[in-house]
Amino acid sequence: MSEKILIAEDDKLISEMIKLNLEIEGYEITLVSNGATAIEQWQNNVYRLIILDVMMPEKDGMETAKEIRASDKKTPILLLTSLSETKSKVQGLDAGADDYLTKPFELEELYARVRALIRRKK
Amino acid sequence: MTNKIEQKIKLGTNFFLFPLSLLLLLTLALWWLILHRNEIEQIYGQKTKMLQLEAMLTAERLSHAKSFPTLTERSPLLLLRSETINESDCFFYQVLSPNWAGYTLVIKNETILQIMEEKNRRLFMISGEGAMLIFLLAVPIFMLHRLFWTEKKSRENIEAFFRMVSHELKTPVAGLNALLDTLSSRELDSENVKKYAKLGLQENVRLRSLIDNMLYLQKMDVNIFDGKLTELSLTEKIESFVQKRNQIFPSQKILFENQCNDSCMAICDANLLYHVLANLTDNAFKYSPSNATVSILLKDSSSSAIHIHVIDQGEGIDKDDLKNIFKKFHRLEISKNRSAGIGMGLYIVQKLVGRMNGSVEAVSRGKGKGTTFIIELQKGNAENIIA
Repeated sequence: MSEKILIAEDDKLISEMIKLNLEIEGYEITLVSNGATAIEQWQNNVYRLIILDVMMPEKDGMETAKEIRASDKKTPILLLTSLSETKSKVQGLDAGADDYLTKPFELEELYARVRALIRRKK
Repeated sequence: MTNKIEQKIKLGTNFFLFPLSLLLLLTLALWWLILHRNEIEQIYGQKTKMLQLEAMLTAERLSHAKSFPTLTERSPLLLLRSETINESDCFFYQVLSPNWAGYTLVIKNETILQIMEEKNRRLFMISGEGAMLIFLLAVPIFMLHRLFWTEKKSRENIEAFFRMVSHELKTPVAGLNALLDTLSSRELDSENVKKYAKLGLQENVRLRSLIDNMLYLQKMDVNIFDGKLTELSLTEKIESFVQKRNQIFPSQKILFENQCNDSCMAICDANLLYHVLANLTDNAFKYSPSNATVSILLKDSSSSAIHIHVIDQGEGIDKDDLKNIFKKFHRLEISKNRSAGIGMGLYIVQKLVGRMNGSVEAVSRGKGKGTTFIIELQKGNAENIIA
């Protein structure tokens, strides 16, 4: 059975590209465009990995990661963001993320991080 | 953790800076007042000493004495009685000091009144000087405090602006990068290629619009505007804009209603008008629910002006917020970490419309009730063109 991944990203092109490529890599993807919907999905399903964009409408990635982490210590969270300063990375990791990928990124690097995070959970 | 603590200390320091400086100022003023009050007391003491010269010695034992013992300001006095001597009210005191044994100090009432008056006058003067000192120190402290907060706010806005620019620039680049990566490494059917190419095109339009905005901001800073004002058909220009945008963004439908009798000729610049409409419609969709439509209404409302209404059914704007939305960074302040653009769109719109000798205003019935932006441009007439 394929691993389920939840992706919250408000940019249509990036989200579609990640979804397409990770599906080809063999994962089952749920795609949402904001943090609030991501939390709803996470509450009703079990995911092996959650990928969150930091800047999103309604509820940003940091808030979403914090809310998820408050009651779920196990599901790995990967943050996607265009903010590359150390301060932002520290904020993201402190919010409960397990890894951090800055935009623009290579798809190969994304696959490798997804594999690493899922492997660690096993 | 250290970073968080540092931030808290910094925030706390900033927050308490003004009250602390005021407290320091008040302490200084109080110290100054006490110092001068002591000085007054000393003067008062000296005056009291001088009373010796006016005192009448009535001691029987030493009535022949030619000099008096020293009377200090701390010498305690005990009022014995008062009586009128030579039409003057006099108070008879016993000085509770061994040197003064056998003496009685007699002080005329008018002398006491004179000294009290002098003391009050000095106190009033010192208080006035103190108040002036506080005022003179408080004004620069207040100004420095205001400057500090303005500087801090402006720094925060610039940081937020660069954060948003970084996000808005890197996101489409990341999308296009992923698209090209996918197209070069995956075997996709032509339908998917077409679908993703369209998304790439949309991203490219957003990227171009952001670059245009950044360039306009730069030009505004140095007061340079390209473009030339000419008489143009608004109907034609808006139709072309709507058609192009609807083609690129089929999920964001713009409806165009032309209420002009003719082709609506107005004084404007085609590029500036296109950019104004692009910013307003982008903004309208950004704050509207998905699948919402935006309407553009062209009205020939008066003999000298033409109005373009950009109407959305989005979040709407609070009445208090309406007057601030054209200010730089305003949207950034209310959007913070949200994905809401660089917070400059409406500021640029107002400047560009102003460049075309027009005006723009926003109307909203409140939160959740949509917003209408009304652009007023001058009707086509060569006399209206101001270079």
